Amino acid sequence: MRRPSIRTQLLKGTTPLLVLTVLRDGELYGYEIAQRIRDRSGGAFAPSEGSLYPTLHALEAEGALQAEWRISDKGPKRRYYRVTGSGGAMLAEHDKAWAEFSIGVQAVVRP
Amino acid sequence: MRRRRKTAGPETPGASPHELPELPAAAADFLDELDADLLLPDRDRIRIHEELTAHLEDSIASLMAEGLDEERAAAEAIARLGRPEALARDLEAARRTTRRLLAGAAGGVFQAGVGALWGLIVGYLALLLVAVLAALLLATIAKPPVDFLAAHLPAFDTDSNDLGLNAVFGAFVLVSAAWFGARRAVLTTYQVSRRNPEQVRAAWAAVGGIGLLGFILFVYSGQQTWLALVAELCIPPAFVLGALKFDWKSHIHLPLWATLSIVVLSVALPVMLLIPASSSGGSGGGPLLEPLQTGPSAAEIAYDRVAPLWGSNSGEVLGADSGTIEQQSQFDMRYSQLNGPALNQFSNIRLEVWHGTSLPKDQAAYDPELVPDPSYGASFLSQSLSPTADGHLQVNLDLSKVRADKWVIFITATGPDGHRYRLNHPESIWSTFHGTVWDWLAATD
Repeated sequence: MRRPSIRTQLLKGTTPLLVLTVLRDGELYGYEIAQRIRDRSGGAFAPSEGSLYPTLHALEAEGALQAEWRISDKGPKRRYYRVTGSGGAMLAEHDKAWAEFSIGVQAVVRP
Repeated sequence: MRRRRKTAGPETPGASPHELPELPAAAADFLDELDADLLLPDRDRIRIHEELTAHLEDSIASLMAEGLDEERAAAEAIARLGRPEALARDLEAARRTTRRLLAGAAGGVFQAGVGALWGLIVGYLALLLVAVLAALLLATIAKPPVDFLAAHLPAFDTDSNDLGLNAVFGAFVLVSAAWFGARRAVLTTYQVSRRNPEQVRAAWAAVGGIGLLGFILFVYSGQQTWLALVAELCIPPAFVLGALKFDWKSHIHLPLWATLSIVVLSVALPVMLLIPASSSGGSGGGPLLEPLQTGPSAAEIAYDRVAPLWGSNSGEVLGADSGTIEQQSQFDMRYSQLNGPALNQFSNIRLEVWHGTSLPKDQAAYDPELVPDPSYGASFLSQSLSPTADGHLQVNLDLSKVRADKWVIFITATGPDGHRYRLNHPESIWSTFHGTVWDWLAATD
């Protein structure tokens, strides 16, 4: 079995944070979400598309996201996601946890 | 090669398949594999299928815009999504929240009740239809053979309140209710909770089967007979079978051996319960499934003359309305010579002149034999009797654990002339057993 890359492992726990963050600015569908994250990171990384959809569906099941089918600019219908009120609270919580975590990691790795 | 896609789950009522964009064959195959691996309700599978079709279309178009040919673009887009079985597993897990599990369980319980009601109605209507058809058949086509059978088979006891036919009908309706209830429970829990369908089926089969068995054995208290017992014990296996046999996707099947095992057990278990009950014969009483042996020999009859003293209440419970006997644990019966028909030689004889008055346990019979049958004797019957102060004989029978439903007792005494006489009029005594199935099984008569 192939060992997951370090980047994949690091990204795994942050996918909900990344998804909620890019959706904070407006509703997007799955492929756009992946593209938006890739663009914002300057092409440095994007969530695994295999983990993106399970994350979207889990967040929707938890009530953090709402989704609806709509015709996209490109023609065929797409499933658009947007952040709900509880999703906003979840984002704030994830954001705070991430800030504390990254500061802690930085302090250890680059003292 | 490109293939036009249609949405998955064509079995879903009300879900019209949408035409999806054409995809390269490799991408279409990937979606087919994913769909086969997904153990989710049709609605979810359709949604995932459509969403990932759109995703693959976007991804392939984007990769082709970067310079890849269609085949390589499709391969890259598929690779980014990972292995279909892993993606299916993650997509299933994404839907399995505790809230959904609780909602699914609660919904399943509610729908089990709705399904049971529906099953009762369906079962009852089906029986009505069968009864009408059978009546028509018997009245026309099958009349000669029915007449022949009626002439050669024992008469059916239509006076009994534990009719075998009623028990069979009851069992059919209850099985129908359990079957429909189980299926609705499984479907609802599965659709709401999104749990693995095999686990949902197994959980409902285990919880429902054990719960119903426990309820029937220890909680539900009603009129019991051996046949009613069989009808009641049909419910748990019917529920288990209904849950395990529920099949929402064509590729999920209960193996034939498992189905047959459950069917065989469903029939065998009640039959195994019946065999000891019927083979124990007279000692058990109750609605015996085999006719009693022929009358006892002369040596077993402990009286040789009859002096009937009329039962003051004709065998009914004193102080209670007829028909409420099952509410009592004591069956009181009073006999008085004063109410009986006068017999010339004893017209002036008081009860005091009789001696050795008793109700021996081997002096009872299962109606309609009306002859004492020692094998039918039960310890609760045996008691010595003596006249009461007001000149009555009083018999107290504890029926709380008696499975017999229709029987006759013989009170005997030795008369002034030294002969042994039967004193009471041998009227049938009716009793019904009320309690749980466990009470019934534990009863020893």
